[in-house]
Amino acid sequence: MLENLKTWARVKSPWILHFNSGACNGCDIEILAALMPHYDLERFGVLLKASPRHADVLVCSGPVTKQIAKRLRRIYDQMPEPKFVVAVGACACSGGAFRGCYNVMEGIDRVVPVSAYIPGCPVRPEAIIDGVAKLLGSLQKKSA
Amino acid sequence: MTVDFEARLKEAFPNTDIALGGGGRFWVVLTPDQLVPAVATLRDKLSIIQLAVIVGEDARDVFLANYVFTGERVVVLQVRMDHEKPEVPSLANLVPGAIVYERELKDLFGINPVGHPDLRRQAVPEDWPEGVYPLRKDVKFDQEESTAKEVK
Amino acid sequence: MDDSTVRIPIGPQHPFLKEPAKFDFDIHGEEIVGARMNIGYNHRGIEKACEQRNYYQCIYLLERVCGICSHSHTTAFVQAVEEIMKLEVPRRGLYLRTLVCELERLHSHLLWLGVAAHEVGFDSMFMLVWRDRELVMDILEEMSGNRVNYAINTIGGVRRDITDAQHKNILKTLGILKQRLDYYVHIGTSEPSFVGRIKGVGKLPAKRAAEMCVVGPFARASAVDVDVRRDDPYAAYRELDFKVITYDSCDIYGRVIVRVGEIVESCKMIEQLLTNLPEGDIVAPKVSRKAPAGAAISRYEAPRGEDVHFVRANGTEVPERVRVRAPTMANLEAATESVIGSYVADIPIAIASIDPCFSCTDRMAIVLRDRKKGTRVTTWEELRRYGIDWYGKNKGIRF
Repeated sequence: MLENLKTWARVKSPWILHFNSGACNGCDIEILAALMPHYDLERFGVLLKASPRHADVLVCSGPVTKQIAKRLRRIYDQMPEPKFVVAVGACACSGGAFRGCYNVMEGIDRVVPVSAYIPGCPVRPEAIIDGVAKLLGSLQKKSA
Repeated sequence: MTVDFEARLKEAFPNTDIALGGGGRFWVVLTPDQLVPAVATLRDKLSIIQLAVIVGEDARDVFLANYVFTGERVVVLQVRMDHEKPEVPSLANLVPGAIVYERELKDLFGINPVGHPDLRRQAVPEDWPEGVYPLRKDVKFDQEESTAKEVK
Repeated sequence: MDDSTVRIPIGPQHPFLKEPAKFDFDIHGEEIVGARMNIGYNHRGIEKACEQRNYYQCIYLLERVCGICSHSHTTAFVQAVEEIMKLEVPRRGLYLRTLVCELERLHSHLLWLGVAAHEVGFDSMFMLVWRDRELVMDILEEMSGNRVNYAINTIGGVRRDITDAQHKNILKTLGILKQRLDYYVHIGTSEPSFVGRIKGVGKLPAKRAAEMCVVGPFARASAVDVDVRRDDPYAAYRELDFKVITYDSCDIYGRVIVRVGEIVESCKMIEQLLTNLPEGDIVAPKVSRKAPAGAAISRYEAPRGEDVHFVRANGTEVPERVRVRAPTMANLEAATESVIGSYVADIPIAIASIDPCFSCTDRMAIVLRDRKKGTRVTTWEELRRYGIDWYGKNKGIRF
């Protein structure tokens, strides 16, 4: 019964931490726009948090620059279990336009395990909502 | 207005190679020790004080540092350096805004701004290997090498 | 540094700067007495990558230098290449390019206004401004197919034309936006609780601003009268009638006044562009893939300030050197200095006032090292809340 309660709480109200690992900010602005009245991700119970200790989902954009890689790993380690990572944007999925550049690690799955990939350059807010809804749906299915 | 400025520029920099390039920009070619007096001349005689950017270039047999000054017109002071000993005097005292660009010259090309007050790593990570200057032409980055191993 | 001065490191990952930076602030009681910054976390090796891609691929790459002013970087680059290739862009192409420039300035300044409101605690204004920003994003999407990274520039002109229906729609949307703007102008300039937070904060004296070579609204608010659109006109700006807004208060209030003024001017410019849009081609004919040897410097007034691109070509399809100087780079050191003398409570708004590329999402932790109480972790949200509460208690400014 407690398990069901925990899952229900997690699925109905995922708290996210947003992290920019060296991105151009295009995806970051679109993530913010997704939280604004026009697209309104907050109706799914999504709340943007400041600290990794409070978050369930790490929403990460950007091709990981070498300088940021260690910090990204540290932030991921600071999140309490169970935790999920969403890679937002072509850069976070595979390096995007910056594949092959020195100083870039080409995708956040080289540093942390990823649960959902949302492609796009930049990602449309509708795609972000779609991705988050799919992730929540899969969490519900997993626990059922 | 163009003629007037060109005349004043040529008067302020006698015996110097000055070319009028595209877009009405003036290119003045200098050696490293001519740089600081040239910047002072620009400021005192032509009232040009705003430094837009310092662009480093690796022209294979020389290094170039292009100081782009903007004001009434755009004047580029192009300093040519020996490839073996790339050094320029720092402008930090005359133009405090030059600090960030000189750090980049050092990080990316290995051009040493002599007399810079705070030369720390700016463009490259703190653990980047010494002596590897990414923007030099002889430094090549392999596709395989850049997809580095996973961070633990 | 005596026992009562505390050093606070902030960063390295910031939401609010194009280049995530690490700051170190020395605090004496409540006042900031020293500040330092370290950048380089966003260094992706773009300039090196440009040397391995042809000019068209470079346009694609440079668009992604910054997601908010993507058009700035492509326009500046394309202008430099057009100068090297000695191409003349048809007038209609120039007008369309300028139209997107001004639309971008609109959406960027609205973004910043919302973010500034958020940093001082005025979340309602944040939500309202971003809702209206969506009007501008819809226009851009209709014109170019994408909300960000419009890919509308090509060497020699623009890639897409606007239809009559789009033309009418832009003018109609602008009308709606102008009505809403009156409210934001009023709040930004005369609402006492908002103004109380930003007057006298983050001061950068005019003389220091000129010495540090700052650019954009940050400079214009410190009475440094520079604007590339007027000083070194490009695209269609020679034919437009507009004012350059400056203010001499040198603080964050001045920066709000300048940006809000620029939003109003941009609306006027867009109307002029649409009314006088000439007929004709949108792109120069017969553009070669190779550029002859030569170098060019292109300047552009991005929403954040002067964007400078340097391109050297060597006769092949691939550039020899591309240098991108984004405006925030010129402003960073000065911004760090401008925070000195303000209070800890002002750190969020003071740093956000130089208009970093993306701000306000809370994802930063600050470690306050206090000799007596030991180490404590504070989040950005807590710092924001601290600032709002501090001003409420000590200055009576409440939201």
